[in-house]
Amino acid sequence: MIEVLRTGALNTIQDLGRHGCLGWGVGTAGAMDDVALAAGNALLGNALDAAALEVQVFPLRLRFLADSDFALTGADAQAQLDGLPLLPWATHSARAGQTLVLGLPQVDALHRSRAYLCLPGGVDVPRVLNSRSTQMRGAFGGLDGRALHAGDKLRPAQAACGATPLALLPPELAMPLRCEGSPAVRVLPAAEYARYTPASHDALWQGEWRITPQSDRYGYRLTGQALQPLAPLEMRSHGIVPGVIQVPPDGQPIVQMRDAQPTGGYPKIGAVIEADLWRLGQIPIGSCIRFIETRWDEALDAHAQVQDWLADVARQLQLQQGRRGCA
Amino acid sequence: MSGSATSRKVDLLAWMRALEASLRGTDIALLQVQLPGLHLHLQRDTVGETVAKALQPQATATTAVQAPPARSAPSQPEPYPVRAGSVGVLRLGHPLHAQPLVHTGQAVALGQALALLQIGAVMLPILAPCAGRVGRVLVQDGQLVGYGSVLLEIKTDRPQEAPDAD
Repeated sequence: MIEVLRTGALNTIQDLGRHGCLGWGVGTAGAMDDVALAAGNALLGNALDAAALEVQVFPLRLRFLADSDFALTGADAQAQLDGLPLLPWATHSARAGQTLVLGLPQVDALHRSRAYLCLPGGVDVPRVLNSRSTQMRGAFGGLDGRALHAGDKLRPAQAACGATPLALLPPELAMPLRCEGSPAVRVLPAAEYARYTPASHDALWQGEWRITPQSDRYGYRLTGQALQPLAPLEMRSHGIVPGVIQVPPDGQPIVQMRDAQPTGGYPKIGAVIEADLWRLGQIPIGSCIRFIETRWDEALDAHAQVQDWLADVARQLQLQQGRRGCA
Repeated sequence: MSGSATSRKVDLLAWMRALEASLRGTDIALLQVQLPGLHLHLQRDTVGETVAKALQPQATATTAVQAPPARSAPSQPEPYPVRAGSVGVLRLGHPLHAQPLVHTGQAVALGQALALLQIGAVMLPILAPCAGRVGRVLVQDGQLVGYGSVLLEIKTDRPQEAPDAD
């Protein structure tokens, strides 16, 4: 059991998302960096889709009310347990009474802004519509459908302590993706791509897009060269998914993120591939990103690459967990 | 001593020297041999020489077949070796950080992470087996190490007990 001593707004319980409900107008939610969340679960031997705490506002102070293992992935927030620095991307064991503090994410070459705290068996909150992710707009899922407050208590689904200490190489090292020095994501041209000027196409692929402060789990507002349609476009609202890049009338694109509305009426120039959403979910406000044009088969390959990495990591971790357990 | 005991001692010594010579070309760090009346413990010490201890419970000349320790005056405790528990690539620091986890002279607590052993995507933290001060760091970052390789030393305040003392 963990007690939240001090938290910023907007730290929520998430898992890998609520899938299959878009037809009812219920968005997917889920971790902005689903790979980090899954990897944190793998470190503890959890099911990869167990619920965890997504921390996007720092600092965070927690107190362990009982002995427990935990894992920290995502941004390296210079975590300390009773003042002792903790290795990032690793499992740790806490004793009852110890305080865990996540400070500010390190400014490093890996551009990360969100951290994940995983507990043995996952955070124990009820499943709603097949998921434990927090649906903020609908105020359900996660911890009572809201962000964490001071005084909240998080319970692990399993009581486990004294696990094998293990650490992981972050996925960015195994699967780097940069374009001319900036972090990059792969984008599929979307349905209205052809309705934009050639200059807009060039700007999309060659331009640097900065993430403005008006960016959060709902969507990232980007700024760069204005994108212009060949002729004014008006569309009825239609279904959209996380990753879709919409172009409002001012020409500054919006990338829909995990808490996106399930429908939108703006034209879509592209869609960030599912396999790269975790990269986008970690880019801090103020950073620049590049879009890399890709094809459907390349997007499928990228998806397979991420799944293979997770499966491989889970297998290697199980080997170490089992081995140490017998020693 | 009778002639047979002396010659047995000489044979034993020659045999140990031959064994040590044959180990020198390998990367075997520890060899233990158990025979009736004899328990031999050959350990490669930190500068590559072997330290041999043969314990014969019934012989009175035990000290004659012991090779002296390579360094350190008898009154100082031996530094405690920290060994790799597996084959892997040794990381002195976390790949995301510029600095190594510990440096020579640093005080460390029991269980503190000293280095990381990388096996594929997984890294095993190597934890301090005792509290003390980091002595010599004997491997380089990125070096492939074997099971039992001595990675670094911890200096404690208490003298170490001989592993096979009877």
